[in-house]
Amino acid sequence: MAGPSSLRVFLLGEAGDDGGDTSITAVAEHRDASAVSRIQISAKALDELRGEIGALRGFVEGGFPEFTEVALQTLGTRLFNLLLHGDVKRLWDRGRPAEGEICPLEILAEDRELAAFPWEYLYDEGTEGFIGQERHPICRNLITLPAAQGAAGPAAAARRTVLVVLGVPPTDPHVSAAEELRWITDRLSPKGFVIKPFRAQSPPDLDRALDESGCDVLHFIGHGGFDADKDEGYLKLVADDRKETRFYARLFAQAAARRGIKLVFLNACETGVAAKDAPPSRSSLAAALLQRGIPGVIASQLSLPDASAHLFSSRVYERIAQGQTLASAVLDGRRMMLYSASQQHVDWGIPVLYTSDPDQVLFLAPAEARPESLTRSGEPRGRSMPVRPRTAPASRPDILSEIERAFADKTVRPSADMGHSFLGAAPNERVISPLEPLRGAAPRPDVAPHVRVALFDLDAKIGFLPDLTESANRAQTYYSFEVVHLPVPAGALQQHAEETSTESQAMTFIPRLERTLSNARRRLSVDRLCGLTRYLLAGHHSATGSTSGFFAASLVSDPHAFVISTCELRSCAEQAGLPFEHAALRVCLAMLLTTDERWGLSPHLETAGCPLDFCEFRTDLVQGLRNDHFDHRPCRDRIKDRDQLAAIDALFALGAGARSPVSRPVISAPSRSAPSR
Amino acid sequence: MDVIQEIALRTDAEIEACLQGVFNGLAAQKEAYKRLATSPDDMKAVITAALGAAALPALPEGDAEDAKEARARALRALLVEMAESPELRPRVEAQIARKRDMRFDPITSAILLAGIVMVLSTHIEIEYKNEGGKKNLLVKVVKKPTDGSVLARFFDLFKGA
Repeated sequence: MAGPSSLRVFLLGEAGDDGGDTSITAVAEHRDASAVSRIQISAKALDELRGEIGALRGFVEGGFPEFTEVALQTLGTRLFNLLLHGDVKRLWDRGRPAEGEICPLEILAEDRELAAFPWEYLYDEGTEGFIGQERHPICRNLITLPAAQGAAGPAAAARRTVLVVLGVPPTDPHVSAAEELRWITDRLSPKGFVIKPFRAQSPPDLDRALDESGCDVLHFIGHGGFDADKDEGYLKLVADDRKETRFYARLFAQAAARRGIKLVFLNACETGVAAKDAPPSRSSLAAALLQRGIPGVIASQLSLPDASAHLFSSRVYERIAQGQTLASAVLDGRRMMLYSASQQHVDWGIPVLYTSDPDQVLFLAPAEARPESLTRSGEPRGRSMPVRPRTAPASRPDILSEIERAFADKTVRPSADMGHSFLGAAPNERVISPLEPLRGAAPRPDVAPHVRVALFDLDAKIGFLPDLTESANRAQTYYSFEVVHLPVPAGALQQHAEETSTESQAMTFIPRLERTLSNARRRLSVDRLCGLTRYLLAGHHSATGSTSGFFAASLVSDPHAFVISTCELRSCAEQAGLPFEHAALRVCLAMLLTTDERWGLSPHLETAGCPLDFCEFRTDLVQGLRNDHFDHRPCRDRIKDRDQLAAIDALFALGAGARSPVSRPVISAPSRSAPSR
Repeated sequence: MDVIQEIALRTDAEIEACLQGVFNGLAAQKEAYKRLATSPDDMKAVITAALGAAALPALPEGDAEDAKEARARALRALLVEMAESPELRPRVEAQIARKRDMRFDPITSAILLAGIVMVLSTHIEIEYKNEGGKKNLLVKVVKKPTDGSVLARFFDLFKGA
């Protein structure tokens, strides 16, 4: 039977190749209920579906053909209708999870081709969402004999070892292994995990390491592939002398089996791919491991983008270490991939989870670090998703009633690409939740800062913001940055036309944020509040009277709370060779200076490579972003606070250190900036 | 995008990676190419079927500097050929425009042969058929390449070799 909360669907039947119709039977189980439905697919419809899947794969692997978000939704809808049909769909509807809960969807397919379909992209037209991003983590299981026998129950806090195997030389240009290891170590070491890095140059190497490490988790970093001649997946092990060996699926699964490993995380390409003409348990790395009794395997059904891989794996480990179920952890990991600066709209679906029990908890959280169980609330897409705080509740402030009323007020329909603001607490983050009382203040640095700055990401999706704030705080002590999470009221996004255009577009409407943000700074005990949105701003600009299309604005009710737009900032940052999050920090710094009443600074029309350049054309920003020094004398000389100047210099130096050697000429027509201050 | 200029600006390693990526993309859509990538003999069979028995030039092999340079020139010429094909140009442009590091294993060690096959892919259909437990390669020439119209630049490199 399916686990306590999961819906398990068996797909029985074979996808025909002979030009005739295909008949598929779906048998579903959920708790104590079950359902059967049958669907006939014409050969034409099946070929169209195959073509779409081929196009998706071609886009991921080769960038061609173009596969838009809409095409992905269309494919996802077809897959959804294929899987969840008739009574099975009715069972699905009845089994929808309650607010804040999830219901894993477990898929087992008899036909090998169907088993290889990209089920992770299931799209529900009814809720207009990819279910694997929301409340239905997708898991795969096998119809196989002998049945997979999982390892013993969750490992207690005292015994948690992660063997991180590097299958390529550390200098491999396509794999940033050191960074991945750092991400894993940063997330797991504080929670009592022992991380054992190991450089495997051959299969015997890896076999010995498995023998000696006694690990609970095996994490592989490197290259994987699928040998179409042998019909078998493999891990590639590259020795220091560049000799390459393939560790094929069956042998690898044999080596890993019966060692008490709870999770194998294959952060390499095509490690979830199976042959069309061979049983998955004999051709796919992931399926072979599952069939041999490994309780959970995370693999990849296509080529994996390096940057997204780190975000995904670190979030999954974070959640597993907190005692979340495997399925829930993978769901969170997928959402985290949406924040990658280089992510494409298909990346989040590339990892696949194979498990015999999606509800299993691999590790108990250490008692002192255990939060309330993280849940998903049912807020509409595009809103900030509050997370329950870790500290004990205090009394409920009045602002919460106001926020709850604002949520009930639906004045704008979110656009299809707004995505989620899934927010999870990290060391440098705080949460204000409408459902739970306000939490206490974040830890202060040892040296009392002069200016406490809270940053909150409405929808700009700056994925590395928490890490950036940590680095910024380490680099200087004048400013103390922290990431906070605030609910975004309904109606904050509205359709407005820029002054120079008749076409309306979505803009963040500042007056709507006034109510939510006007008291936020006081409640957070910060000196400045900086909101980041990817849309242009609309509202009433005090200086110019303009109502739309500007890039930064302070609240009328609180001039020290402001919102900045990251519209086009990403491309400007790219042209300047500066990471996006550092560019956002520079823009924030500019607003911090202009709201510092001591110096009377304001933006100047001259484009001087200064953070206070007015930038009549948005692309003028590139000049400033390319400059690693705050050296515009007319502005710099007005600041008499040496500590402040030293801090600004340190933050610029931080950006300089993160710079990449990319600087392409601007070839597109410049877009005109509206008044920004 | 001036794709020819972009090709000219790329290093030899980038050109090879680009070709691997294009082949990867093609193989992701057409399974037969994935299998083909594992067999240099099958790739030679495809080339022979499309261009005739005498078409296959002596390809530079070995680690000597001049062989490496010849291979690099050949790969670049192949990419230019592909860029000048209306059907293949979008694939080349998509690869060149890609900025993401992907963790893929190069799909074939015989990238020169694969490159030739890619150029010919618009003229042929290939299929692997299961016959008696063996996978047999079938090649159908749907559009016969005329002399000089395909791979001209590439074969010119090996004239007199």
